[in-house]
Amino acid sequence: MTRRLLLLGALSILASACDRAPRLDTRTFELRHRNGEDVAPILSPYVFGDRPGAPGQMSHRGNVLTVRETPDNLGKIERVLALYDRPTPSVRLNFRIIRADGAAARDPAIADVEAALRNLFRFTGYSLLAEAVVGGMERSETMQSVSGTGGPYHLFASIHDVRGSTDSGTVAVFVRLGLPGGGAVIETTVNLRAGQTAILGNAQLAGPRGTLILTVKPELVLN
Amino acid sequence: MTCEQAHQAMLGADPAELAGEGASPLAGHLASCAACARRARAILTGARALAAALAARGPRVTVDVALPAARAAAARQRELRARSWRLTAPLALAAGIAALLLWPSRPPTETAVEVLPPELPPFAVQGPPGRTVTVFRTANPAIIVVWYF
Repeated sequence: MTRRLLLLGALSILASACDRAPRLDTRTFELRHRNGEDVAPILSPYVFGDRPGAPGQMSHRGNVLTVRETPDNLGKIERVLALYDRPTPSVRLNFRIIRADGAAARDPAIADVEAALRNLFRFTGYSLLAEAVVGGMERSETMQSVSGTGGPYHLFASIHDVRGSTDSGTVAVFVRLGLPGGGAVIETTVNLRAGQTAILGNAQLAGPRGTLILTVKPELVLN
Repeated sequence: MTCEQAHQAMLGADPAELAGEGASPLAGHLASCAACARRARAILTGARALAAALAARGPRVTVDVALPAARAAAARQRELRARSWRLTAPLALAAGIAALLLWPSRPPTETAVEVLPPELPPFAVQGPPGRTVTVFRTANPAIIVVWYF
């Protein structure tokens, strides 16, 4: 009798082991800097919706994300969110408006770009007419009037895309330099590394403005 | 028969002969030689003591009795061992399975999340229509010139 009971016990344990499914937990994450819609594609490889018997699930609404998965995978998701739920760096655009053929003396304020320009073009000299710093975020637009010699100048910047971190990111930005009543004289879209300077030229203008060159240097700044 | 011949004969003689019974040459010598007769009696006394001691240490049962008894004892041992296995094997199996189920299958490991460096888009420029654009790389990698003609 005892022997039969022991055998029955062993068989029942075996049977319960055969249909054993992984234990799932449910956790809700409150995102601080991203929307659930943004991070769901990043997290979907960690959610096994096709697991037999215990499918993983994920849902989101606004900045709240709820995931039902194994504790191990929930830990991975938490670590992924720690990496990606970060503030997108803001963009600081440094503009300089430069006139070619404007000066014989070298202007130390534009020494970096002047060296590059002198190797490429035969203008007699370069002078800084105006400079401005414009801040913005990804998918933001900024318009600013800048006073300076021959100004005012109208700067428009539309930041399309920001990728990467502060020290190794890129910024795609549309810039336009306009004059009052004169429309756009320089406009272009460039994709630049953070810290890289694009020299955009040129606009041939009548009068004292002469030949205008616009430089733009994006920088990524953590808020 | 001399005494020397009598000593040799006593080594192989049977107890009756040593006791001086019969008409053998040894028996005749023992009847006429007191020294050899004493030696013969000493031999007889020792032989009887040895027989008594052997009888005390000898098997108390015969082979015909002892062999079946030994076979039966061996069969009982085998039966006991088999019963012991039949009782303990399911217990061991159940304990093993329970250990497999209850033991933490694998402690949650701090699996490193591999993050590849972001794939940054290359430099790109899009100018206004109708203008010819040329991009100049300069000696300074931090400066790029985009020139419209």
